[in-house]
Amino acid sequence: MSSGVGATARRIFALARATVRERFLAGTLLLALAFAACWWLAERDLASVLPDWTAGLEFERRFTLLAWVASGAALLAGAHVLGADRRTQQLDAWRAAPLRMGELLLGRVGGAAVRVACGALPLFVWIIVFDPAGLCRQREFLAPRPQFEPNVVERQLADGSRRRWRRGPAVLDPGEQLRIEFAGIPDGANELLFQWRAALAEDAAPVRFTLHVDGREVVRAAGGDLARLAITLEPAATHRLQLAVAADSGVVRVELPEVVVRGAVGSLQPTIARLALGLFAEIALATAVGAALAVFVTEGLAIIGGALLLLLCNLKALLLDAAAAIDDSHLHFDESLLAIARGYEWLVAWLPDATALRGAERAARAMAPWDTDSTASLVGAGIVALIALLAAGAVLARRPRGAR
Amino acid sequence: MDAIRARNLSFAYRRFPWSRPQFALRDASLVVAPGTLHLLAGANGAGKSTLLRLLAGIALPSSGELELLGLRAGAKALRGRVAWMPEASHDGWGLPIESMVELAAELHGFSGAARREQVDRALADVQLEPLRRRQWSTISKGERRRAAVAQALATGAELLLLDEPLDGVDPESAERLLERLVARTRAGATVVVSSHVLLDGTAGGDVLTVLDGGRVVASGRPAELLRDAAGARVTFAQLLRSTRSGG
Repeated sequence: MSSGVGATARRIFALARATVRERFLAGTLLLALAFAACWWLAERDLASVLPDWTAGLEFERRFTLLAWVASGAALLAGAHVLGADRRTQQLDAWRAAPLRMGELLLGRVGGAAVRVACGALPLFVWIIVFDPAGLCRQREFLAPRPQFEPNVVERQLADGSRRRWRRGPAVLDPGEQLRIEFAGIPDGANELLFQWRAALAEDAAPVRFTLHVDGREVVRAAGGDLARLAITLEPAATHRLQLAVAADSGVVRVELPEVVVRGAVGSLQPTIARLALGLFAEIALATAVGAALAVFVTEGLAIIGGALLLLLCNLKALLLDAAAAIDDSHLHFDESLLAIARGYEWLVAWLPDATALRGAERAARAMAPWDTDSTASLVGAGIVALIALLAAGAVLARRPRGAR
Repeated sequence: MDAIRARNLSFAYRRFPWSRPQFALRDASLVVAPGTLHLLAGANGAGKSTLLRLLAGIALPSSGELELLGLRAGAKALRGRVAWMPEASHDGWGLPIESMVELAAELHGFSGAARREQVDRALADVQLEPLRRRQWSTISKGERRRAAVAQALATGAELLLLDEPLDGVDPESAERLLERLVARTRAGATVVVSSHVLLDGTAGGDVLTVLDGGRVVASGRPAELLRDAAGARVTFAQLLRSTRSGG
């Protein structure tokens, strides 16, 4: 057998290229595309009349549907390519060829995944570029923006003493001040977001306070419950905020985690790249699961088993929440249910989270494309797919020995 | 060095670990000289396919010794030197015949002009040149068998193990195919062909081994085996009957 990385790559590429051209896959894709097109046509009018603020949700729905359609097609394709090879003794023929089982699986599964991804590409472009809720159509609303947290938060008590505030909301009593400083902010169309909640004191004193931004008074408030403020900032590297509660006022609670400076609207490219990678990872995972199962069981069973597994991957977050709720409230449940919930939690924890792969609820909104969570999700899915293929490869490499 | 040397080869299937073993092959011994066309004949269930699977290293025998090209059967070094054509016909993934034959050559390390040459030669040998761009799934059963033979030929392997390549092939094409296989053996390849149907063309084979009930019941030159004691030509069915009756 010719060895070396080059020969291995050539064999994998040859198999993948032939698989990409396989006719069954085209049929699967057509079916998936027809289904998606019908759904979109039914939803099109609805989307065009929705207000802007729902664009993120609408985008997420569309992207989720695309991911489901693509995963379904990938599962069918993966199960078919290996199932058909097994049925027609082609797997045995490969075993006699100078081909490692890993090469065979990577070539066949890779080719099927690429084929499904090529089919999903027009739909992906459609929802990114042309759809009413698409990223490009709602750029102002959905494009990622860098976010800066305060460098310094200092609370000045009524007696004049000062304390550094570290985390969480700050509750200011009458006569107190809060100083917030943002440093190292790059030039551009920066925006300050500020959120507070005013509450009456015990003596029902009215709530009165002022907010100065860079020495300019922007809020002089009295009363009100929850308020949000968005101010466009003048270009400056450092911005200072000062909130002063009047001495005869009620209490003001500043929601510090919500007090941030948002940078200029960024490029959509990293988000699109992240979404594309996530979608491909999901397709590859579904193909690998379908193919690996088809080595052990019949095609039909492989498709049913793969669909169940993918469903669990999609419901992972929800199911973990349910298991955690049972775990937290164990006084209300019997021990056996608690044990089941814990075991189940452990089992599901091993599955990749399909929603995280496509960015979950952050899919459309200011998603940091290369953050740790994204990388971990993508790598996690890759590892699970690889484990499935390795197990299938180990079974394929085993030669049956006659009974003695 | 013999191309194949098998001694007392047995293989038994077991449906469940506790089931009684069902012998598909029992104490079969076989020697195939290099550069010969060796025909394996026998009725359905005689053990021909099992023997070829063992020779290809796809399954390991229950007992016995097996050497191919001087190496133990199943050795990694044999991969690429042995090509096995399965009994089942596949659908060619819906690709043109040419593409599937090309894939076989590519997986055996041929690229560029060498690959094209292998493909052209293999398709010419099975007389499928005019159909090379036809979808695999649209051709007839016999043509599919010939296309599968072309896949095996395109690998350039030294030892070709062809399981029922004549199944569904018309007599004229079968005869030509056997002639081309003989020509391949004259060029140095060793070919083992199994078939449950024997044709006049089998006379072109160098050795005919007849299997029955998992055992080798006769082996020799086809022209000699297919004649009775008086020198008259016998049919394959008559040959089988005579071996069963010990004649």
